[in-house]
Amino acid sequence: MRILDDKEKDLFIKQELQKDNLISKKADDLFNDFFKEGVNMEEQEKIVRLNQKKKQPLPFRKRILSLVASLMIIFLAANGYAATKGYNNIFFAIKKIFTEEDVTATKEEILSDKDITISFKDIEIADGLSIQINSLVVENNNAKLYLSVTENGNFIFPQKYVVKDKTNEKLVLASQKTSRKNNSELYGTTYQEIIVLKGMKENTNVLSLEIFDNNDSSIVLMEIDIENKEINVLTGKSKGEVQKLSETELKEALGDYATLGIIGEPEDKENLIKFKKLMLATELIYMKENYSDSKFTKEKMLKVYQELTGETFSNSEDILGENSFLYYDKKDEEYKYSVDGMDGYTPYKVLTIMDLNYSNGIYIADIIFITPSEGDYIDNNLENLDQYEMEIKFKLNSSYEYTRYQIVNSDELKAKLYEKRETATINEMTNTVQNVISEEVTNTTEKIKKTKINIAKKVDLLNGMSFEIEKIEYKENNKATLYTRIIEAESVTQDKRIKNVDVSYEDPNLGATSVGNSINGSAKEFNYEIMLHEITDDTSKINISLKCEKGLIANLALDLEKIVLNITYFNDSLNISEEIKIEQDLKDTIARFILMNYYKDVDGNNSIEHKNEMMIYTAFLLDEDGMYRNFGSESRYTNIGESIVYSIIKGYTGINFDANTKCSHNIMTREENDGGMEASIKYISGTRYNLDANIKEIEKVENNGSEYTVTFTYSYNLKPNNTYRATMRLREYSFDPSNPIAKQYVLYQLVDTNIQSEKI
Amino acid sequence: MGDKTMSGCSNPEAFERLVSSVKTKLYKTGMAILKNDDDACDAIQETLISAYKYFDTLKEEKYFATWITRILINKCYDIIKKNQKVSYLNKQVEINENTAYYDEYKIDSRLENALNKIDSDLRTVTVLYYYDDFSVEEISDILNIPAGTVKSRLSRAREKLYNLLKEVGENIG
Repeated sequence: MRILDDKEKDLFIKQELQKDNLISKKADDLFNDFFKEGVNMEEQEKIVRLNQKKKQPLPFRKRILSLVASLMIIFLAANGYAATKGYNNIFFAIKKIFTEEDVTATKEEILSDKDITISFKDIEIADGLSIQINSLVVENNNAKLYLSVTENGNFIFPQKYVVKDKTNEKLVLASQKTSRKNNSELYGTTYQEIIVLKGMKENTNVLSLEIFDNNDSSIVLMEIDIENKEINVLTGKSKGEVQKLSETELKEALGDYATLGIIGEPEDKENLIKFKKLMLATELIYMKENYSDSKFTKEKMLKVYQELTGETFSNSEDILGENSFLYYDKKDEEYKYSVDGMDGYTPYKVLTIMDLNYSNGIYIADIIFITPSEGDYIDNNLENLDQYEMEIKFKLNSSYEYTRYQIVNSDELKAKLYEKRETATINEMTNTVQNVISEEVTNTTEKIKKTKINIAKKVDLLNGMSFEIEKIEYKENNKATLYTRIIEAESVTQDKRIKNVDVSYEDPNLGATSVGNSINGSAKEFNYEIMLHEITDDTSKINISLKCEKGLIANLALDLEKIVLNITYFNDSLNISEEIKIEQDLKDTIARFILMNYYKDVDGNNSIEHKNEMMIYTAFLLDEDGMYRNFGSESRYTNIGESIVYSIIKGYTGINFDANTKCSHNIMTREENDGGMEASIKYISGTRYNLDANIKEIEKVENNGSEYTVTFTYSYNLKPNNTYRATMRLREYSFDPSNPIAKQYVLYQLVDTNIQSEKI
Repeated sequence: MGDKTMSGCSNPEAFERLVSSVKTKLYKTGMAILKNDDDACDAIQETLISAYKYFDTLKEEKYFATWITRILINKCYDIIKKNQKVSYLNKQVEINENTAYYDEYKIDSRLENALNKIDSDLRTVTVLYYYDDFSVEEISDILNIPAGTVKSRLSRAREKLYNLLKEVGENIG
């Protein structure tokens, strides 16, 4: 079979993805409604109110009085000002202005038309406030600078923009107020500011832009090189050589370089640094080249490595090591990513450059940074992350292809904890991962613990109809789906068919809710799903009314606490009530786990995926066959140094595989961990190295309060003649009483990873 | 479109035309990030309101897709933040009521399921690049991440997605 190259794969992916051109009915309706009605009335009103805020005109007499009063005030104030400048009164001062040429009064030049795109790159100028310097447009002798401002929960608002001509002795071209109407928060909004530049000259090449807040304090001062399309953000540190650096650009670069630093005390520091440098080198290639064309040739790797570190090597293959995430494909003569090791690089985020000094060609930056994962960005969790401090020394490459900044102390970079945040983070998760779960549940009031209640109860209604309540599946955001099935005999006439299913329920936290659903269609037997909103774990009763054209058919009251169904049937002449106790099927109860992979393999090597320090949230479903099957997982990357612990959550062992690729295939039988110590030990040891190990004998169990130290012997199926002795520490796990499955089968938990093992 | 700012949309026809041209892409992007129909629709609604209000601030129509996608992504992140979501399960697309539509959707949602199998950090750039046809630079602007990071994520996603889609294609037939 022919192997596709990357471009062909791109084309294939594109074609496949674009096959799917559908959007949901709800979304389609949403667009159509919006086009039909425009913004809703509330929003329209807001806009109208905004426009109506303009001052109402005063009556004529009042306007005259107001004008006279204003002129008097201005005259007096102007006289006062003139006196301070050494004039008898304001008229002498005005005469002076008209008789002497001033820099702002020069005759404007005729400018040629131009439309120069400068940048579409965001420059963060305050927390949650970023700006793009988009373009400079000159048309009919009118010069305008187009800015794009994005606000994302900022507390500082731009109020005034001052633009000066740096090419021509800081001639002030504009001092313009924002077009923003008020100081309200415009979260997630991007708007445009157009700064009209007056008196710009044809030779103007460099502008300075200073933005002020409503206290007239400078938010940022930057220089815009129109010709070279470069923007330099100047700060208080902008002196001497340091002034040449763009803070924004430097922060980005240092965010990349900080990933080379070591957090914690790794065992194999040398290899770890090497790995990190290589990963960053490939990132730099990606930054420079077209994504589809990126090819990691030997020459390229050598070049970028040299620019990045100042180091070189004679044979690039040597430095990569075996089983690396990057391997050298001798046939194609390039380095390639191995599929399993492809994930993992997220640059660190530099919050502050605390100090930046320059001496003898070396810059020394003292930075504060955080190590966010993609999930942290999405969850807006940056404020909760531990902050680290690091000193990075670098110099500027005089000529370069991939990076301007060459790191000088790459092998010595060490991060120190600068500020630890109170909120539980992944960093703190060692052998007490289960605390994070409970904390999450208790702290997140909207989260529903329940996952599913199986009812599976079919109710025979009168007149040849049946209504089955299959199950309730709880979802996030206080939502649930009630799965029902309606069966109507052929003999049921149209006027007696179920036309409406009205559902009501009251939640002590969220109040009363009712959902009405009308049924259309001619099917006699069909599944009917009802979305329930505003529901929580405490919702105790769901009432369902089934109606036909003529009126009520039946009322059903589902008591979710007692799991009892009360039914009242109606027909023309009688009402019958019945209470049905429902035997809950617990087999489908979902148990939740967090699994974490560990960082040492059977040979004691640190391999890449282990270094990636991946954490996986996984949910398992206990199916009808008594097998735990993976029900879904989500991986999160984190940087927790070497603190990864091989953990068992709710009594189960973590599984030592690349969860991304293998977790979905995981099946764990309940027999494998039936709650007994022997079975637990067997399971722990059996999965410790992803080999099928057999417990030979439990030699000793020492009970130290809440912990057990267990010594046992085991062998691997592959090498049954070799026997090993191991010691591990276990403790009983405190069960979640609401989870009957966990209560029944989970007993022991591994306390730490320090399983002493020896061949005997 | 003049220099007006924040005073509403003076050209609703243009707004409708431009939104129509990107509506499927907006939906796909919302779904890629939020992974459920209700939330994606909420994000789109908020996006439309916001974009409508500030439409006049947009200088050139050619930037409309980038601009509105960026607003959408911010709205998606707002929803995620609001929901305090830690997604344990790969949620399936929730569609109800319209049976015929659902059946039609279900077939193609298998492609979407393939997307959902790749990591969230890769998924968004993948949709923006392969589906929405944004360039690496545009994605960099939209997501506010370095272009190099976009490229490396795309590269990482390529192998995984290629294999997954190949598998899906074979299953669909």
